[in-house]
Amino acid sequence: MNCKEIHNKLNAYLESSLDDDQLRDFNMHLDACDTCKKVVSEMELTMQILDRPVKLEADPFMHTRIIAELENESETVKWKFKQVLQPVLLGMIILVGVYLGIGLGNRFYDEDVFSNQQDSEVNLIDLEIDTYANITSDIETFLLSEE
Amino acid sequence: MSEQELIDAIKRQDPHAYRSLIDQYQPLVLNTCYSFVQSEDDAKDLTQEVFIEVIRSIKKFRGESKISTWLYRMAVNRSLNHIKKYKRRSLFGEVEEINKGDFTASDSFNADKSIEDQERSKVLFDAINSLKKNQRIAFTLHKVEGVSYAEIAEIMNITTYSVESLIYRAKSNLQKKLLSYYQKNMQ
Repeated sequence: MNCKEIHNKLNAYLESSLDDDQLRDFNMHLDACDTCKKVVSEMELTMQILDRPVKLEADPFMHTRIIAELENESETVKWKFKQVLQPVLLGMIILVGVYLGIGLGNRFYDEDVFSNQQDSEVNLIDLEIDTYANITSDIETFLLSEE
Repeated sequence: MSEQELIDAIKRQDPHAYRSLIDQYQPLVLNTCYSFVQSEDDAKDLTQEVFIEVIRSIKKFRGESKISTWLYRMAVNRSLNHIKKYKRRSLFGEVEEINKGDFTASDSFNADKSIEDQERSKVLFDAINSLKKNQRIAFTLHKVEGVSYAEIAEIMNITTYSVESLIYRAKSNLQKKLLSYYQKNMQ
């Protein structure tokens, strides 16, 4: 076997699926070629890592951390809700205030008084006109009498 | 407590059920995340995120698959997203120190492991991470986590035959990548 054949057969070698003859040829080449020997050795050692995977120990504080995070989250949600709710409530209070103000204003606004006032103003104007007319006629009478 | 009872209790927001869920499934989630991200701290953070997501979205769980399948799926997705985010960040050079300490298998393997072994682990997991997504998921779950073909099929929503094929191709590609790496570095 040459180096290229070794590389081609490497997967089969690592899977232990070479037949006896192939395995003998493979090993013979490794004995003669230092580079292939190193490559094959590194490959074996690297792939062996998968046969002994590291298992982590469960974290005893995981439960506490998760519960704290969940509580913290619900607090944040409440706080966010407050943040949104407060300006909305304030806006609503202002609107209600304005509405009530307008309502109350209308309630105490006496239309009759206004219309009476209007009438009286009209009467006053009429009166003024009448008075003016009377005065004018008086002046005319006076002037005519002088003649 | 049966699985269904546990789910019902979580839906009722029973704190004892939360504890049971975490105690029972923490090793599964933690080690799945760890097998992808190769950092103990990151795996713990991801595990926490997975459980919080499970508790939050338990109402969506229809019980069509096992809870472990659901957890595997979430752990894999979270871990892959984390790797993607990490890659993106390191691309912009924001987390240089992580390159040195966190991701180079420093805390991911026992402190008494030789430097050569740590180097090999890094080379191996870098090679695994460079596989296509589906090959990487199937290979990691089977080879590192020891999940059966049938469960991987359920987790990935594919047939058992496809799982076999994915793992075969992953193994073959992985060996090619490693061979090419060692050939370059041995000369």
